[in-house]
Amino acid sequence: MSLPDCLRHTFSPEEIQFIVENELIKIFPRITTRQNIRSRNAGQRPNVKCQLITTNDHNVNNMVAMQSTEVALWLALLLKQQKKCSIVAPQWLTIKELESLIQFEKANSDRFSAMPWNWLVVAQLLFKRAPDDFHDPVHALRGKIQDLREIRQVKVLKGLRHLNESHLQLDNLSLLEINELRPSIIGIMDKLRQIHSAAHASGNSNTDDQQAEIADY
Amino acid sequence: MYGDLANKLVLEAKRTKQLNSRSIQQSKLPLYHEELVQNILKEVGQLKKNSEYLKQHQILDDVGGKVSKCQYFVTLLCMERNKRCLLAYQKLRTDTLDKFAWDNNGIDLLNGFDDVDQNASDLSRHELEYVKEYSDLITDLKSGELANVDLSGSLKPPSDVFIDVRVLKDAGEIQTEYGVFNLIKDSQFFVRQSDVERLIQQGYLQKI
Amino acid sequence: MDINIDDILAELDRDTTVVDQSDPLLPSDGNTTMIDSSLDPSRMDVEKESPGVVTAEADYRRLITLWRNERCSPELLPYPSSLMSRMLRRLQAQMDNIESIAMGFFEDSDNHESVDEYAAPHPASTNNKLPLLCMEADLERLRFVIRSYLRCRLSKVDEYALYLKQLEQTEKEIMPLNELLSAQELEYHERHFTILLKLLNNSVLKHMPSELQAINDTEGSVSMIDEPDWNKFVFVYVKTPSANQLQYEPALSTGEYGKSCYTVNIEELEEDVELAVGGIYVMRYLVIRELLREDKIELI
Repeated sequence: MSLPDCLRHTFSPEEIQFIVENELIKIFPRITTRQNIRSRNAGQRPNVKCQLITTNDHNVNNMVAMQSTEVALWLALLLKQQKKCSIVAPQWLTIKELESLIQFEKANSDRFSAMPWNWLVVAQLLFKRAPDDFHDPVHALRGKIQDLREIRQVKVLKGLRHLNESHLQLDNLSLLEINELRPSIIGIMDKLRQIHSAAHASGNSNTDDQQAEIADY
Repeated sequence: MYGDLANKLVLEAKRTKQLNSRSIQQSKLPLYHEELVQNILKEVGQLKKNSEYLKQHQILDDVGGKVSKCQYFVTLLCMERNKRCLLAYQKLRTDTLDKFAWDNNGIDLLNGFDDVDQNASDLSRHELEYVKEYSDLITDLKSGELANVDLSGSLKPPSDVFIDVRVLKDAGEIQTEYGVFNLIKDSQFFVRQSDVERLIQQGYLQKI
Repeated sequence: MDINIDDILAELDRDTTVVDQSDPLLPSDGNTTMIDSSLDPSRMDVEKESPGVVTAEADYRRLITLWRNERCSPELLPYPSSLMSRMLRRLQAQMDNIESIAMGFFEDSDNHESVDEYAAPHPASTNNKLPLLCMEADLERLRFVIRSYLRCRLSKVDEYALYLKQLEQTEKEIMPLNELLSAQELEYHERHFTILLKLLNNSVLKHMPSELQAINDTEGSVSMIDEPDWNKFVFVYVKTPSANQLQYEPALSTGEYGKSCYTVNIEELEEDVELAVGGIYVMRYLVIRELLREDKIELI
């Protein structure tokens, strides 16, 4: 097979991270890349411009030290690795916000709080690659994220009993959560669908009355 | 009983599949069951003769029609079942061979390099021919319009484009856009990952 | 505040380089427009539809979406030929571009700078090399997506080899095979099928009685042609149409909670389901296939 089995029906965690890394994030550059006319005229060789083909390169070429700007997450992580910027953690990634989200999850047993679709990956990446850029202590944040994750997991597990052969609505679940659930949910629902069709095909001769009867059950 | 041999073959295929899906390492194929395959083919020949006899019988004698019709039908099903088992066995092996070819081990395998777990003698003559042809196909596909993509390259998303590597065994000089590196054992370099991927796979370099 | 004309000029420079390096044999696909419109950003939005003025970023986003759709869908989706040819051209141009910048550094270090930098190439060693580091990372990301996307397509070409062959013969699909597959994929399909059939013939089929020698028998107790599992469950995200599209979208209606919805029908269950804009659902593939083709949903 030209694609390994493990990638045929789902994404790897690394691929989910890759997808998330394309999104923009706010940074505080430590360097200035904006070039003005004066420096060029002064005979200095212009710096090489960063020309990118997967994301808009305007911001990275117009960075001014300590003036916030937005770049793709992968680029932010690269700049961070080279110690050229600090990353501004998103609004929801603070102890206070996370606590209120946990409250919401506890208060609403039948729905998920409106977390961004990439919350889990962003949190994990920033904890690992930019731990010094948080105002709150990282270990406390990590704990809150873990709590949130567990509460939501329990809700999903409870929801599994409602799986049917028709369809399912899962608003506000993030990409990583979906990817983790994919094999079991798809597996169960596909089986239910097959059982339903088989029962339908053999159990009766498809008269309208009988179908209505089955629908009533 | 008819079909028992084919069952054995399919169980063997199933076991191989499970072993390969469980191990993180490379897939491996056990010895091609030439003898079993031949015996199943013989059984099909025998079934074919039976079916012809039954067909004759049916025309001559329509008293026991129902019984011989049933017998005839079961014989056909057995033949078809044997065919499906043989094809399933071969197809499973082929899928694994495809994987070898993509991992570039197809060529290594044919050249008898010792860094391949798979033993070339475990493959049938036709399978060896197939690996060669499929590897050629991949090479052609890679060298055309898609040359820049490196189709058989890593399917893991790039995380760090530049990495530190340690040289595990002498590998001579390599030329990259960032200059010439002389890969002497125990030295360290900061290099572009894609430039040295193959060398890492082959065990010359190690990511630090 | 200084008005930075240099940036605009530099942008212009860059676009022309891209054009210069593109394949001269290709028909003019609006490359000239690209230069014009980069001077006047307001025009870019208006002309977004025409292929020549799509930004690299928008193309990449589209490719990511197509990659994800392809990975999640049970069937092989149509090959985006103009998008892919732009991508491959851009890839080539960028590789040349990086090479020429990297060469520039070599000459510099040869002529002016200290010897040690040459001896231990370390692309991140100076600020000046930072752009190059970013460009390399950026390039690798694009290469990865294209590679993973094409490999996924090839695995489906293999899986449905017989089914695709049958499509070719019956033409029951609206889309001809040569639009569903790229030229390379067509060739791959043909050649791989040929060598596979040769192997199966040699080891099994030719030893069978003549009536059992077919590889694509659909008459037996089990059809030998694997079709995609059309009703396989998939995760879908319902895209939010732009305000403009919203007005002219006949398929959208207002659902029970006042949200805009598409209504789909699950035939087997005789059940209508409303898919609210912005929602995430698990649905049977066939039910949402049309919406996917029309780019109103994404598979996730």
